[in-house]
Amino acid sequence: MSLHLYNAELISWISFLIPLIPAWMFFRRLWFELKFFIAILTVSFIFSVVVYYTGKHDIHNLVIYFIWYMLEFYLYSILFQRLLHSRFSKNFTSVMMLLFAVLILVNLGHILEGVAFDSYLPAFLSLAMLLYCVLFFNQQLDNPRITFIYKTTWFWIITGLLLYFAGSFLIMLSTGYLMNKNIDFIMELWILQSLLGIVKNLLIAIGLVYIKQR
Amino acid sequence: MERILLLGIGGMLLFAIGVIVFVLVHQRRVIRYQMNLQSLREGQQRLLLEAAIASEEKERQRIAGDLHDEVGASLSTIRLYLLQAARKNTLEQVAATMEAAKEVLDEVVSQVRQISHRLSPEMLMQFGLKDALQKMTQKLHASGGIRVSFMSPEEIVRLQPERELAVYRIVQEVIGNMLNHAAAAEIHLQLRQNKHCLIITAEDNGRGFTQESFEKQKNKPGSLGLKNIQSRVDILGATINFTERKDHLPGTLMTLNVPLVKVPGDSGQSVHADTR
Repeated sequence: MSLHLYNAELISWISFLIPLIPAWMFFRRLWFELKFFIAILTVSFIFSVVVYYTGKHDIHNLVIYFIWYMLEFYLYSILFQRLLHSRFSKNFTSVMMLLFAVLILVNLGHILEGVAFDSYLPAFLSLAMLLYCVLFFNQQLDNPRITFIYKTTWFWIITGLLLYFAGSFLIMLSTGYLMNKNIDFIMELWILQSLLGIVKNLLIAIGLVYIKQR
Repeated sequence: MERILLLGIGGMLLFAIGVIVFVLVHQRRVIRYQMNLQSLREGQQRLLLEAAIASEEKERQRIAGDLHDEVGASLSTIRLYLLQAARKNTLEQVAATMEAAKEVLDEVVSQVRQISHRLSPEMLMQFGLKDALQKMTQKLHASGGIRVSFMSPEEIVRLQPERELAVYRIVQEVIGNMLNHAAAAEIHLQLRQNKHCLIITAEDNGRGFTQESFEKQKNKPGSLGLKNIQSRVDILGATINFTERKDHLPGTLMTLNVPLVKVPGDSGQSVHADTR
């Protein structure tokens, strides 16, 4: 792997610490959904460190990616199921969880072989997250109690997630296909994704500033 | 392929930014709308308050006028009679003067009762809205100038006295408007109730009056009666609607829905347990 990618990934996982350190410090003061989100972010942080080091030492890590995406998808789905209040949104998240399970079962053989990167799971994860974020914003717009949306923690968190997963969707979808054709281009795309990860973490950190104005 | 992919990623990012910008712009619009609404509400409340004060002042002036012109004059007459009685020589003359004074005194008692009745209808306090409205329509009908009918079920839930008075005043004002402004020759008043509210409808055959006219005119300076109606409707947590008649003949149908549930800001129970 290129040095640039390693550097970008290194900065990316270190950037997790920007929101995580203050969040861990004030963990007790957070309300449940935010605690849950911080827990997901911690899981993502651990996995990103693991894949960074396994990648650096040429250890086979495709199954770790698979477990990461699976965990991330289900944890985020549960979180959005709590955050979204309408029946439609709750049913939608349930349907997405079911579809993801079907996708896992269909791709299980391919995934467990661990020969090639499976694009479908992370692409589906990104698409689902995009839709969850749009549903969340739609719900916020209908909430008359929120007067300044940008002064809420969730606005910044969801903005970070929306940007990250919007950028990741096509990167993830094309990774499996391009892995054997143009590895250099894939590396560049993964650098872009790492940069988006840094932006996401910075936006989440901004969101944590507004915790008091809950 | 790479170029298309990059364009696609750029497009997705633009989409995400577009969503965020839309959310922020929409939110600003909502805030502006809420602020406008708030200032409109404040203006409306100020108007209603002014109307309430003006109405109270008008009522005081009317009472003062009644006391001065009717009671005051009658009492002066009685005083004169009493002075005259003191100057009379025979017992018969005194008795005759005292009789005349007694007749004027009876008038005074009747005048005071009328003033008191106008302030707070006795029938309403004692027997409730149904009987008070019935009495009011009977009186109007008996005047001969207009045909007034009234319909109501046997049992109607009694509201708190002040709520009943507010409903009574609204109906009084609406019927007054039908008589004075709509030139109606016929009025039909109906009182109904369901699980949630008391429904009062008043239908006339006069010049039509729409909800739009009500909304416009109540905000005009001087239209004290309509402002009072709105103010009482707000206090009751009720709704009032002016529409055309259901048979589409000329006239107006007023529908007043008064909730039977407790309304915010109402200190006591809205509905009494006893029904008649």
